[in-house]
Amino acid sequence: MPPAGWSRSGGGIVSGRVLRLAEGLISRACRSLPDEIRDDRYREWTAELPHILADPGIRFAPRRALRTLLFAADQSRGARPPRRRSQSPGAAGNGWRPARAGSRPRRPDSDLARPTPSRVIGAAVAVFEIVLIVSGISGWALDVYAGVGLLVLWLMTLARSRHIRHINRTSHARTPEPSLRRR
Amino acid sequence: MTAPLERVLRAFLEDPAAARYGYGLMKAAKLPSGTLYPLLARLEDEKLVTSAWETPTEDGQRPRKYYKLTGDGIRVARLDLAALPAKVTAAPSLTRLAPGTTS
Repeated sequence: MPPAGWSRSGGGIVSGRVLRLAEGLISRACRSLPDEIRDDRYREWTAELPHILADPGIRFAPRRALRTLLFAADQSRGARPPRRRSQSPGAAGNGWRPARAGSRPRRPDSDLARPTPSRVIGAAVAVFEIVLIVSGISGWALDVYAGVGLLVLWLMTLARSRHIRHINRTSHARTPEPSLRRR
Repeated sequence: MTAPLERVLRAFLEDPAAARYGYGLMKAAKLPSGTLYPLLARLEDEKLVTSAWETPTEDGQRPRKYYKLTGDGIRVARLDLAALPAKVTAAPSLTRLAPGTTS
């Protein structure tokens, strides 16, 4: 059943799509988690989605949809191992383990702040969509903008993965075993 | 203690016996999900918080996971939060003194 206050023009369809999109984002975030906790976290986080989408404390349906997507999207940050604490020997346990062998390595910190063209375009599209969603557009228009957003995010992910592969190749060429050298 | 941790502990201590869901804690602590859940995992690791799945309901909704402070968690949270205001209130009282005045 669609949440109260949801738009009449295909609101149920939109809420279903928002849920599926949010579940996809959470599923993607959970890939970086260890096997032992992955299913548990996926179940926990996806169980919250319908409650956010039906939250009576948020008045407008598009804002609830946005909140749901933000909740899901931010889990990629929550599923990442912390930057320094877990890497230092003897650091207090924080519930997360180092990334599995074969998973995507993190980029060097200096690279994180660099405004690449894809990031600038992605940020501009995200801001544009947020303004549209918050201003009350729903139904098919929201679908179109969400589609454009997803396309841009997909292109950004492609560009980023190529960029990361390039960085890894060059850093491996320079420093074959950085962690061993530190010890 | 970091500000997010402080907010989470304060949210828990509003009603220490109550079971809190992740989204409820997010709203109470005003924290994004990507900050809250790692904190909860850390607190659970340190045995300050315990978690459990709710009983599945008949309407087919997925069971949610809820969190509660343990006895140790309540004690530690109260002690740590009680130690905080002293640091916060000490600084403003100094700024209130006008030059040349004594307290």
